[in-house]
Amino acid sequence: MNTSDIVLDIYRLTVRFGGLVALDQVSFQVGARRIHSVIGPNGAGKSTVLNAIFGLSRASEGSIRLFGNDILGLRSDRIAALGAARTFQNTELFLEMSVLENVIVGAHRDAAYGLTGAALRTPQFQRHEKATREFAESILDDLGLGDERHTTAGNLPFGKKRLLELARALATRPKLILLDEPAAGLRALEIEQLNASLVRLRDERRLTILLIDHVMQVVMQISDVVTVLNFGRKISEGTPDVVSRDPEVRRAYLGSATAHAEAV
Amino acid sequence: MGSKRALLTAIAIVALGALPFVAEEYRLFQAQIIASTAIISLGLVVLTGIAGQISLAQAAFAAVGAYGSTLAAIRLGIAPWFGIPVLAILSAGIGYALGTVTLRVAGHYLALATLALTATVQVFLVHSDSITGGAAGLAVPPLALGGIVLSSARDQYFVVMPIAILIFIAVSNILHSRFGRTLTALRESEVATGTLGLNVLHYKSLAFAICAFLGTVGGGIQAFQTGYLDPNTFGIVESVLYLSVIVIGGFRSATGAVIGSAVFVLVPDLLGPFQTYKGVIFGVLLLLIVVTFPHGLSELSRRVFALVKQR
Repeated sequence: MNTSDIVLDIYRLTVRFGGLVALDQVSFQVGARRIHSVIGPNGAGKSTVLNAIFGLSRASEGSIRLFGNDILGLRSDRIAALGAARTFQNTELFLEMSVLENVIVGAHRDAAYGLTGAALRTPQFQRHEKATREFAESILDDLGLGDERHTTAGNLPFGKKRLLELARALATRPKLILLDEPAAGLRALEIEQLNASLVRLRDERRLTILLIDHVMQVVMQISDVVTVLNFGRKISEGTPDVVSRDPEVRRAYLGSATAHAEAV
Repeated sequence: MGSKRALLTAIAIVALGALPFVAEEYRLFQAQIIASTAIISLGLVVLTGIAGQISLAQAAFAAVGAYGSTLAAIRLGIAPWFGIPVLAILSAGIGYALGTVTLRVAGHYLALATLALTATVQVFLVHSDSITGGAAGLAVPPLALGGIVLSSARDQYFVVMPIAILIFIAVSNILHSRFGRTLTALRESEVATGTLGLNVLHYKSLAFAICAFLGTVGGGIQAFQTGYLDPNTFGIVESVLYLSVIVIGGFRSATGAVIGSAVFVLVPDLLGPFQTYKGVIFGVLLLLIVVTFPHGLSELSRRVFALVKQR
C-alpha cells in the first residue's frame, strides 16, 4: 500500500485492563476509500480497537497514526478535527433533541459565529444557521430520515437510531468513519439498506470506513479488507474470500459448520 | 426568532411597559426584585438546566456583583453602569476557571466544591469589617443617571426593566444557537459530544462563565434596589434558593427563571396574613408545584400554547 493512501495506521497496539490483555500487539493499516472490517468472536478485542482510537481505552504500547498524526492520548475533539468520526455500539444520541438538531450539533465543529453573534442574531448568524440546517436536512434526506426530522430522537425505533448516529457523524464532514457494530439488532431488510448506504458513502463521498461487526451479511458482502482478531491477537487479514478460506480463521472463529455456511 | 418566542417577548414588553401606569410604587419595586432574581437564576438555567452541571456558587457571584459595585461606587466613585459590567466580566473569568475544575470533579463533588466557594465568600464578607462592613452590612448609595438621582422604585423601573429585558432576549437567543445546542448535547452525552469535534471542557467552562456573569449582573442590580447589603443573604441558603427558583419555574428555558422568581417574590408576600404558618404553607405549595409540574411551571404555558394550537 502506498504510504499516502494509508488513512489509519495501527502499529503493535497493546491495551491492558488490569491483568487482562485485551489487545496484544495488533497491527493493521486502513487504506483510503476502503471498507475495512474488523471481526472476531466475542471478547476478541474488536470494540477495544475503536475505543483505543478515540481515546476511550488507554493503550499501554504501540502507536496509532491518523493521516500521519500520532493520535494516542489525544482528546476526542482533536481526533475529530483530524477528520475521524464514530458511532457507538448502543448508540449515544442526544435523546431529548429532535432528529434534525442531533445532526446540526454534528456540524457545529466549524464554530462559525461567536456569543455576541448569537445574542444579537447578526446576519452572519442567520446565514450560517440556515446553511447548517439545510446541510443537516440534506444528510437526513440522503439516509432516508427526512420525514423524521422533527421527531424526538429518543422516540425513534432502534434501527433508525443507528442511522441517525451515522447521519450525525457524517455532519462532521469526516474522511474516516468508525462504525461499532452498525448492523447489530437490525432486521434483514435494514441490513440490506445499511450495506447500500455504506457502499454509497465510500463511492460517492469518498469515505474510508472502518467497521466492527459480527453480522457476516455486512462484513462479507461489502468489505474490501477484513482483519480477524481472536483473544486480542490478529490471526488473519485479507479480502473476505481469502479470510473465509483461511484454516486458522475457520478453526478459531468459524469453527462450526453453521458459522461457515453463514460466512459464505 | 421562533414565532412563539417572539409573541411571548412582545406580550412581556407590552405588559411591563404598561405596569408603571397602573401599579403602585411597592409593586414596581417587587417587579424589579423579580427581574434581578430572574437574572441571577437565569445563569443556573444555562448551567444546570441546559448544560447539566450543578452549582451552589450562585450566591457568591451575586455577592461579587452586589458588594463589588457598591464598594466601587462608595470608595472609587465608579458608577454601577460601568462597575457591574466590569465585575461581571471578571466573574465570567472566575467562572470559566471554576468550569475547568469539572475536569476532575463532577456531580455531588462539584456541588460540594461550589458550596465551599460560597461559604468562603460569605466568611470573607462577614469578617473583613474594614472593607465590607462586616456582619453589620453595608448601605448602598442610590442609583444616578446623568446626574439625576433615581430615588424611587418608579424612577429605577424605567432604567432597570429595559436592561433586564435585553439581557433575557440575549440569553434566550444564545440558548437557541449553536451554544445552547452544544450545552444540551454535553448534558445528554459528553462522550458523543467530544467525538463530534466539540471541546467538552471548553463548553462546560463557558456555561460556568455565563452563569457567573449573570449572577454578578443580577446581584449588582439587586443591590441598588434593596439599598442595603446584609452578608447573611449571600450564603448557601440563597444558592439553594436560586436553584429552587428554576426547579419551580422550569429549568430548561429562560421563561422558567422569570416564572420561578415571580413565585418566590410574590407568593410569600401574598401569604402575609397567615403570619406564623406562612413558611409551612409556602413549603407545601412548592411541593405541590413540583409534584404537578415536574418540569416547572413554564410547562403550564407550553400546555396553554398546545391548547391554542389545537383550536
